[in-house]
Amino acid sequence: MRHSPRRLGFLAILAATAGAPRAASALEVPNVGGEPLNIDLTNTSVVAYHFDNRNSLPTKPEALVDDKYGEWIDRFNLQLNWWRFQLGLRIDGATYFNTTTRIDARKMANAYSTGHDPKEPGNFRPSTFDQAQTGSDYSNQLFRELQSRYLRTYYPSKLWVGYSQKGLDVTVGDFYVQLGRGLVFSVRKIDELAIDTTVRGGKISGSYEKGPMRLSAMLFAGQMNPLRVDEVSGRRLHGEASPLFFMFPKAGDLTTYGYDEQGNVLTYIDKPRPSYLADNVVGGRVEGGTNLVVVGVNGSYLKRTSHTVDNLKCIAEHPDDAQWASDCASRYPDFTSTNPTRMHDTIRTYGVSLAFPDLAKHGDAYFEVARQEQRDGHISAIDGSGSPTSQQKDLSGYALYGAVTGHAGPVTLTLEGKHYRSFFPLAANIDTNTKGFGAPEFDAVSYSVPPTVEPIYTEALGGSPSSCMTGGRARVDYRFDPHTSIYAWLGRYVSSSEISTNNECLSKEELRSADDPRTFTWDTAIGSDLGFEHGRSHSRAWVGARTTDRAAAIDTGAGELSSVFYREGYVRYDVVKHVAGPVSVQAQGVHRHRHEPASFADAWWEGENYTAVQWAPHVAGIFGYEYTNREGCAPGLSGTMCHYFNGGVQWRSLSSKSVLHQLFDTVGVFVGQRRGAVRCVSGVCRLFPPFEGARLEIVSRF
Amino acid sequence: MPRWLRTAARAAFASVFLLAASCGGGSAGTAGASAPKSGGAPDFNLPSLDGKMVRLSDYAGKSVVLIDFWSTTCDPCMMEMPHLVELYEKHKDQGFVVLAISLDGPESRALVGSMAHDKGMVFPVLLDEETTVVARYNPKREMPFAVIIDRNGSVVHKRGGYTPGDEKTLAAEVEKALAAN
Repeated sequence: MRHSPRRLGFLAILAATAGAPRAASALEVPNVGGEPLNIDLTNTSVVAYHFDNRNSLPTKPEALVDDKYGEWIDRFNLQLNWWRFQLGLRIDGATYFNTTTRIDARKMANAYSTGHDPKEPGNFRPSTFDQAQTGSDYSNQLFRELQSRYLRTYYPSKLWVGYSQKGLDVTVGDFYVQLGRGLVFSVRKIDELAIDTTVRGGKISGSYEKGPMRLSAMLFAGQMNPLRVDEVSGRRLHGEASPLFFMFPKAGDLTTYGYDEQGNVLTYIDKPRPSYLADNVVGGRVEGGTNLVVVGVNGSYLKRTSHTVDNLKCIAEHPDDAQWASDCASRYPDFTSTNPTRMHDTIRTYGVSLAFPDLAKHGDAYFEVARQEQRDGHISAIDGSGSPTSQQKDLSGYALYGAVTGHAGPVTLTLEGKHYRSFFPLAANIDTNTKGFGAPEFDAVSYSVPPTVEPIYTEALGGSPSSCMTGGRARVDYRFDPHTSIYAWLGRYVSSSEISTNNECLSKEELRSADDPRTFTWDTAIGSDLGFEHGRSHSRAWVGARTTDRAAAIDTGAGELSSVFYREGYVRYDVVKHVAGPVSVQAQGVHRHRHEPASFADAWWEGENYTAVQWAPHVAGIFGYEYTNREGCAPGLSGTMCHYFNGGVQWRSLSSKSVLHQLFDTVGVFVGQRRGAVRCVSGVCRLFPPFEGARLEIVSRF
Repeated sequence: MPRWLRTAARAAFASVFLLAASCGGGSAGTAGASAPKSGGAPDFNLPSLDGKMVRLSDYAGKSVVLIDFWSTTCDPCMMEMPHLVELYEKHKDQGFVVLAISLDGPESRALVGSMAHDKGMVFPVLLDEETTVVARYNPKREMPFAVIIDRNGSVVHKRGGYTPGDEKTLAAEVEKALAAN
């Protein structure tokens, strides 16, 4: 093996400094202008290999190509702090190896088309085409699937410069924003859903205080900057070329094949087209008040990039030419969706909040009202002069939200309520449909998060339940001491948009439907938080239930009438028992019994238990077991319990005394299987596919 | 990377710091005089649970500050919190401050008050609903995540996660920082 001088130098430096003592977490450099310059570096590197995760279905190309490949995901965060300035840079890298190639895809297509693949007991067979054509078309499905997945990508995902002094903060570049409680606008890190959207532009905020009075204002503007690589699926999001997003990845040509009537192979090349069209936003907040009451005014104006009219005019030039239509879509990309906020190009959201942060030292209260106006609806047809003849109509909605917390002695009472009408999270302008160029895994990216007033893990089952919902939750906590408390909550919700889409929140009569759109939900739980052995052992557990009923019973298809829309009973726990010295044992899990008659005939169980042995403070060994007998958990099998086993080890250095300690600040190894699951945060849900393989994660901090 | 791109990147980087240095030099005798003593820990300004605005520079450079990132939905955070309360009670008279920064978003923000009361959190509870501060101190958004800042305003310790027994090592780090000045 040959080593370049540069590489040898790096190795020599590493060897020389590996055991050298370090004084602080951040890199130390000489003062600049009499002020310390601090460099902070955090790097997270994940190397994983995916085995067959047992979700392959011939009818789902996306599940066929997610087996037997490796990946290296890296997030490099660099931050420089000097005086009042901060400079930040995040570089994201995604490297894939041994992924499905186009040759593999063709072999796979041939195997499935002839129906002879021994692995799959599924029922895929060629239908209306002859075998050759079906094979080709199936190959094309896989080619389209691979078009935007597993592409090597390295780009500066976040970049910013900040200035901060008392009363003034300025950021140019990427920043997070939330107005009020997320009704009007909210982009923040939601790592649970692999979402990390920022605004790339400018933000300035100022505040002024005099005595008990306080006044603050914040103004921001820019373009939305969602992450371009979905680390869960390997899907890449492509935006239009923009100087604001330099060095960001771009889409490539899509090549597919067909046959003419004589059986000759035809090659089709679709020119690249983006899956994300820039969303531009301007917003701000003004707040004023005292420590007793604060009044806020929030507003955001979202203007989407749209090429709809140009696209329709282009297609009209050669209305019967599919290849021409594809070229038009490349030049003037245009997305369609059932999500109303994606089908309007201008969305104004504004509102007023009223906060009482300190109610006589016995609690706090918060109220917010917001209005959402969706304008410039999607045009689906134009006349000869280019004027729209069919357009999505304007949609306006509103939201009322309130939360009150009161405590007296050991008792705390929290009340939350909401009343939303045609009020939606602001979905990103992302193509979630077009095969080959779309990015369905980014469907959950949105720019506002109206509070759901429900446990964060509550799943949205159908429609958009919160957009037309009235409900509330009461929670009572009783504290024995800081280590010990018990609690219970009860929630009641009425939605008219849960069974199916009902953007205007219409009643049964207004919909002129035989079925009443309303659902009625009770959600309750009781739990305890117990600490013992001076806080070294701990038990946190709760049991809960959720029932949702339709307003009227419907025929189940088995000759019976039922109003059941959803049922769930569950237990969640996290128990830690100190054994001796530095050793503790932890059990953490959730077990759920669920029934969703509209989607699955039978109720099912699902859950997981993770047992860890912890050797404080550095090492933990983990063994996990997950299960489900949900219909379809194993393709082609029914009535079967699917089991998933895994194990792992984690090591934390908890020290910065040498480069090695910093380089391997935290190291985690995971080997085994995890079931696929829907994960939700505040009503925003996404499906995580099952995983089977090995994963190494290294966090470095300097 | 092409040479022109390298050159451009270096020029941009140098420009930012020259600009920053010139601003710093120019204001050292005026605005700089009122600037907090800071060893490089990035300053921030966050609302507290009781409605006040709290700035790190109000404490950094004067006290030993422990920043703890937590949320109501994080079980290990709940386990660790009573130990932080004990640590704070033990050392607060020596110039030790805990800033407990909640990362709860709209989905769970309403529960922060009740948790703070249940856990007896007598130190400032700050609200980083935008996740701006966590992105700067803890880009991986681990929870709980502790950052210790010494009296010079320098970050001297960072630690992610909590397992029983960690409270001892954390207390040792805090005591070391308190004894340093």
